Amino acid sequence: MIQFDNVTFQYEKANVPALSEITLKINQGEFVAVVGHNGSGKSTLAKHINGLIVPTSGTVTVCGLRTDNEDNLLKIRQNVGMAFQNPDNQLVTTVVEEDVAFGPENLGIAPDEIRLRVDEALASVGMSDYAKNAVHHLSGGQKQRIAIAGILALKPKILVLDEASAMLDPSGRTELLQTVRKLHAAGMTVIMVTQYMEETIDCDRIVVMKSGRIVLTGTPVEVFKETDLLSESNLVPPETVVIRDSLRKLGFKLSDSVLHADQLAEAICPLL
Amino acid sequence: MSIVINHLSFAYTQGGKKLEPTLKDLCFTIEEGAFLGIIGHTGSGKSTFVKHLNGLLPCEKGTVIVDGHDLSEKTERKTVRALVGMVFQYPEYQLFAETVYEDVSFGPKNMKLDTQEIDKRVKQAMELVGLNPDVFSERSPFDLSGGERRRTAIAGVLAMQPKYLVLDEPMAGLDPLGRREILALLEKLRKESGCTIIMISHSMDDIANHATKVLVLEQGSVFLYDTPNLVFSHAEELEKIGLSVPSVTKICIEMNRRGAKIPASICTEQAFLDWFREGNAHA
Repeated sequence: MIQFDNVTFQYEKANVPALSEITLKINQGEFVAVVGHNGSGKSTLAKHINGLIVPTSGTVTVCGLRTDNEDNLLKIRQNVGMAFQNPDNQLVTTVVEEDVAFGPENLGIAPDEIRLRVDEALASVGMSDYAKNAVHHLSGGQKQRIAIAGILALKPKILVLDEASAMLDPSGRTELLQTVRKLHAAGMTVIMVTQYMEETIDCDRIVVMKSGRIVLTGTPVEVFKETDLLSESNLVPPETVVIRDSLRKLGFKLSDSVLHADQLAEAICPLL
Repeated sequence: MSIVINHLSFAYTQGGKKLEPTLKDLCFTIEEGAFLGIIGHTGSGKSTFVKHLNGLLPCEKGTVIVDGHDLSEKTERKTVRALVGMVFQYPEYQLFAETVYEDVSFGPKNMKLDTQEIDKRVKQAMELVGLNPDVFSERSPFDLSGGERRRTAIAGVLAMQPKYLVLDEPMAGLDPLGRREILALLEKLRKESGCTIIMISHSMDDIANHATKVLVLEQGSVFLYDTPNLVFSHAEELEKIGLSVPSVTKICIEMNRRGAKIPASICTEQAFLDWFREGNAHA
């Protein structure tokens, strides 16, 4: 569904490329997390998926369309929705349902169809009760869900989140993550760039970036095993995994698949 | 010496009318040398509270007394601002000078210190935050990485050598290594110069591992004020007000649910592993 072929990208005036020789394939319906240190290129990678940035060399193909062909961009952007870090920068109107309708209105969709899409989109992010509310009275987590509803109203096949949880408090982050998981379960392809390793535990695949390159990809179980490589990339596994590994050093036999607090408790209690 | 908060209440004004109070009758003392972690849901009054610690917001009702200086007296504010340093959220947005050196020296210059003293303090502060003065002094703050910019901004506050350092979510937006660096810096400051740290954070793991005291605010009131192990043994109440608990506490709760008898006060990796080392389980 998304294919990066040997992609290198250098910002104007920069001395080194932000991305170097990236090759990555993301399948339909996959939930992929992209992690990396500040400046590792993870946001630059995300912005390639809907052609906000096009490669300096190499190609990105989305739903069979190359992003370096300008004629494809409209089609690509109808397929790829993007959510960014700051919720306040993504909302354009004052009332929730108007904000969600903004995208489809711009596409010239018929009013009846827009009504239908707005109601559906608000329902899928759990914000139907807020349709008539003022946008600026919502919490950060609610604003991000409205921003996502605005994207869903355009019926994209792919959802890209570029550190969308970074400015939210823990309950806002949980809200957002639950919403994204629900959309993924309903068939959406999700690419989530994040700073928080604990958010990646339940995704299908993690892509670890360091200085513009992909240094590791794999399932959470596979990636969290590579503690040395992670720490060379300025990252640490989720706290529960760190504790699991410390217990192993004390001699406890715990499987690599233990990632959550309840799994760790389940594995340890028989040994007490 | 200490910061004594006595019956402090505060309400913002909108269109000439007082809104619902943001802070309600806060009463407690922040001991010198403590590492105080402040937690609370968005809108619980955390940021409003810390703005009272150096007089950025006036004491409307009640008092804040810093080392004997009462902030209700306007004349005391200047003295207190030299004692209490403030690092706001995303402090790197406030960098403005052409070089790192110039930016860090802005505070001490305003304190009217002599050039030699300013130079000494700027270099000390830069070294403290891990920015080598020989390498970074002449660099533009805007050419630095996110983590370096954050540390430059913190150095600017440290150069004023505050006795109390207040930080509003200092790790927001940094990668895991950047977070660890800031926390290590705060620990070092506290140990080496006895600086009292007052930190707002959403990371319960960081609070559990570093704070000596935890203040939980809920709708403008003190919900809990105690040591981390006692605060986090109230997991259920904390979850009811929309807060989470440290990862270790979560594991302990899951273990106890399965019949284990691990004390509810265990909230750090260290304490958790010690419990196992004490022979409570067999590998």
